Amino acid sequence: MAERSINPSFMNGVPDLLVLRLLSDREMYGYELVQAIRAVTREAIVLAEGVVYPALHALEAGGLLKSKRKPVNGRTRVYYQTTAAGRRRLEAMTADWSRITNAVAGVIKGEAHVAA
Amino acid sequence: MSPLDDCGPVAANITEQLLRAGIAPRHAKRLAREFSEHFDDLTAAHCGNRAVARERLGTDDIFVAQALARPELKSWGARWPALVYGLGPSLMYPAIVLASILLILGVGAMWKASPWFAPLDQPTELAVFRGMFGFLTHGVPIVVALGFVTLAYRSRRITRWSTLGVAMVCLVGSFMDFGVRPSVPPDVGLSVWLGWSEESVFNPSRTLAWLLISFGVVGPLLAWVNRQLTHCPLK
Repeated sequence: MAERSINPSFMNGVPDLLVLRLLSDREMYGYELVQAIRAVTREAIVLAEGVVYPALHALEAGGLLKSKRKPVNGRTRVYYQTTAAGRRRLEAMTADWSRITNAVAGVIKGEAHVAA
Repeated sequence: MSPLDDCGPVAANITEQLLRAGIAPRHAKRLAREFSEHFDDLTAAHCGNRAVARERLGTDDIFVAQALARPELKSWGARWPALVYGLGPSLMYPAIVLASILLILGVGAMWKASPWFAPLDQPTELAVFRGMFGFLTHGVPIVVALGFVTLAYRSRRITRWSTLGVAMVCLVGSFMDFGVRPSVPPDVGLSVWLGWSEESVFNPSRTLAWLLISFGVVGPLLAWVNRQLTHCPLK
């Protein structure tokens, strides 16, 4: 596993974005979701796995996710999926994220210096 | 002991930490259960290697800090303690009394309109209404106080606000009075009143008696709950 530390201030809002994006494809329970995040990001984002649950609960409290219990292999799992409001928030967050990453990429490539 | 040294106490210990930090009970219990189940899944995925599972999951301190960073997960009592626990009981008392009176009037009207209606004789009617209004006047404040102590314990929020709120509703209840008597002319029903009167406000012995009764019922529970929270440190 690639071990790297990420400045927490750069992670603000990232778990919410990842959670909403992955759950917009299909419903998942917490452990499944964390494994999906690890796989999709190729372990570039290494979080303490437990932190996904406060994010899930907060998104659910905000009406962006809904949950239901389902029995799986003799255990009850809490499955989460996005709501219509969650999908709208995802669109807005994705647009913000794209705008910011494009802007940062421009700075890194020196566009700001050229423009000045 | 680290909570992850043994699966058993994980949920209980984290629930306790979350509750004491102000997370709403409904979130605290489910968060702790999901955290604990995630640990089980990680342990199974790593062939029983609990150390790796623990490293991947993160410590319970990080988990609690992440939950606290989400204001949506905090209980109303943690967000607005003065309003919920300080004023809550005193607002809940008249609300319950009003709702109960409306319920009594509604049930009475339905009973009168029903084919099984049989008028009660006046002494029975007086006794029934005196019992009901006696409970509304002096029983409800005690029930409300007990309810708020239970609520505060459930959220681990026994603070000066909860103690003050409980004391206030007991005080308000001890000043309240009610009266049920036959109407004039007597065949039209009963005359009922509930509230403060000169007699109820300026009658120290009566007020003191109700205060002692209220605190006699609520005080031991409040003291027990306080002791539980003070003398049961986290593992």
